[in-house]
Amino acid sequence: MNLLDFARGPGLQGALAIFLFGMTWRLAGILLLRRKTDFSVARTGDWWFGAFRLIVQRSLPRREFASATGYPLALSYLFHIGLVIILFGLNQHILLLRTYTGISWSNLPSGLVNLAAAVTAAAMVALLIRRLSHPVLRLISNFDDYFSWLVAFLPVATGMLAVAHLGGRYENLLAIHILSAELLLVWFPFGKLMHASLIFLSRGTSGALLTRKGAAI
Amino acid sequence: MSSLAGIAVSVVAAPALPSGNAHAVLHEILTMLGQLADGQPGGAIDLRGLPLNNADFAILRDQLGRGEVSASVQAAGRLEILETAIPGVWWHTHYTHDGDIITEIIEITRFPDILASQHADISDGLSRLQQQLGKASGAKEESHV
Amino acid sequence: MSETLEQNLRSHGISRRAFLKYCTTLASLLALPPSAATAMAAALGKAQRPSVIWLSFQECTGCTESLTRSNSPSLEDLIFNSISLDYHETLQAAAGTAAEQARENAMREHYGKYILLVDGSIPLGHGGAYSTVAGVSNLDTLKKVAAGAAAVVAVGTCSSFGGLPMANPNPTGAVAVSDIITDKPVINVPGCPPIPVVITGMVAHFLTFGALPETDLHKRPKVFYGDTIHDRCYRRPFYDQGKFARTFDDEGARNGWCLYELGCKGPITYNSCATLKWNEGTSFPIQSGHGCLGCSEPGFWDKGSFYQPLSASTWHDIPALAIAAGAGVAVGAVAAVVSRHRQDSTSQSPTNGEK
Repeated sequence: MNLLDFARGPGLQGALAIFLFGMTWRLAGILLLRRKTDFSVARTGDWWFGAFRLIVQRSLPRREFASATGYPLALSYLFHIGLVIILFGLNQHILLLRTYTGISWSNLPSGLVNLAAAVTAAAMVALLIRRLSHPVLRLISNFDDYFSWLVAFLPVATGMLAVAHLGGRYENLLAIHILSAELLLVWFPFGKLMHASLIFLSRGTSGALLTRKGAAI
Repeated sequence: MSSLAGIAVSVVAAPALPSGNAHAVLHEILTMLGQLADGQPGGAIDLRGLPLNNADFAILRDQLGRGEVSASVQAAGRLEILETAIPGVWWHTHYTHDGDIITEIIEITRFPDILASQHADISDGLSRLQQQLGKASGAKEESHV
Repeated sequence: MSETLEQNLRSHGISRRAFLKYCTTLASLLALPPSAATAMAAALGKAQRPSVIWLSFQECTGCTESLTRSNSPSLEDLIFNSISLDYHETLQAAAGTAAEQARENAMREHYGKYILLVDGSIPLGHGGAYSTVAGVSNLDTLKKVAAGAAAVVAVGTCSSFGGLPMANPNPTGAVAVSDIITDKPVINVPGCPPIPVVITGMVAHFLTFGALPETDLHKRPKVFYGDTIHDRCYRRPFYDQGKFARTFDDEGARNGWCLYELGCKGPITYNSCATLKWNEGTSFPIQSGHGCLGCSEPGFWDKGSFYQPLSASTWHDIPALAIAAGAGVAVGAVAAVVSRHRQDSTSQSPTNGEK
């Protein structure tokens, strides 16, 4: 069994098992917590609307802070959209997802995906530079921030090298790319990457509670 | 056959854009031709061993053109040797018995060696001719050799 | 036996010019500069007809078929008419003890100088009893014949890497030639079957230079196994554009688009099919509309389905993943229960009691 065989076989299976175990563990652990009973009378009944509204609102820059947060926010949007394009637009990825879900869709032209990958990588590097150079940001950054950045960046970088056949024999490039994605899967539920599944949950909860209390959001 | 003909197959040729390698070959030819002009030996370039696509070949043919000499040799399949419009630059095309190209070489020389009669073949021809004439005057031929 | 290769060719009515043409093609195939053709002609012309012994073990004779299907007259013919093929179970006229005697004679006369070609893997299970010739196990024959060989060429994937006989669960305990012969130059010419000119090219190279060519990490000659099928595939532009055939009879397939989605292993398969092609340069699998199976790579039978795309996983045990998810829910539930318990105990503490 060579590196690629391991990556495509037991490696991926193991990484996915850890990913699913970690995800369900953390989500179940949070969702099954007892909600504090609220004895106050609800001001409005539109909790779901409030939840949705806060999710949208917090995803947009607030006008007061736009000048301060505009640059990182734009970069963040850029690389998140880029990641979605890469993950769901490249045929090789669609074929992988198809083996698990049974569904597939049309792929995007490779040129567009390559462009998205380049933009994504550039935006991620720019954000890392900002994190390292911004005094406050650097102070509040810990190992989790840097490691999460790394495990998210590696699949993009190694994927680009594999597509371009740069830096080694293709089977090794592909194996390293798949292994880097497996590292991402393993780390995902246990580090800050978990925000991908918790961000809407926490915002929605806040939105619902604030709406119930009749607070302006 | 008629049932196969009913299947619509339209093969789209992969788009071939020049790879840029044709100009690298042309510059190599330029260097070798310079050496030949200085009285040094020229050289040869194996086109098959290089990543050249159809567009690259078209550039090479266009740039080198056709010269004054064209020769066809029948030796284990056809062998076509053309002098290009640049004297001293020869284009060899080797064909199999079935007419497929197996080798393409550009040679920079005053005269391609393979066109000259080969010593081994000359001596073969000599003995053949001797045999033919020997029937009439064998003894005479013997004394010549 | 003392006849040189050139004398042999002359007696077959092949002119020196034709020989030079052959050598030019040979130099080109072996990725040597055109100037090497003259040197090759000189060396090959003087070479004595070498003795070649071909041993067949656990194999299907496809490699021999490939060799005999070469164009005629061709480079392969040139070389194989010019060698003395002293033992080849399929091609030799002699049979029984006479055949074995021919091999013994060749080994004695050319000890240390003959070239050994092997196709098929060697079974080690049950003391090698799974495959025997004239009552002798393949393992014993290989060791004995290889001892006197100048070089060993493992022809085909079975002798190079174990191939089909070694595929899981490898019932006969099959191994490759290089697993047994470690004290001789061994070169692997894998493929199921290998391209004919690659087999003869190795013989020609050995005759010309007295050594086997430079090899890669799997002992394959770099000149023929230096690039992947994908690197030299004429459908590569479609891969780069993201245009794929989805099924074997859709619009993409008819348009000749990339076969990656249909399981093509071209990107990880090192061979010359895309450039040398098959059946006198007619075509190769991808040109005929089927993806590459990866037959020149070690363990190609055990790399999942031939029709599984390269990027897809080879091991997706959905029930096991469901169990992992279920275990996660269970651990999460236990964590929640513990947390609830803590929530309850803190809410009863005096500070929070006012609520």
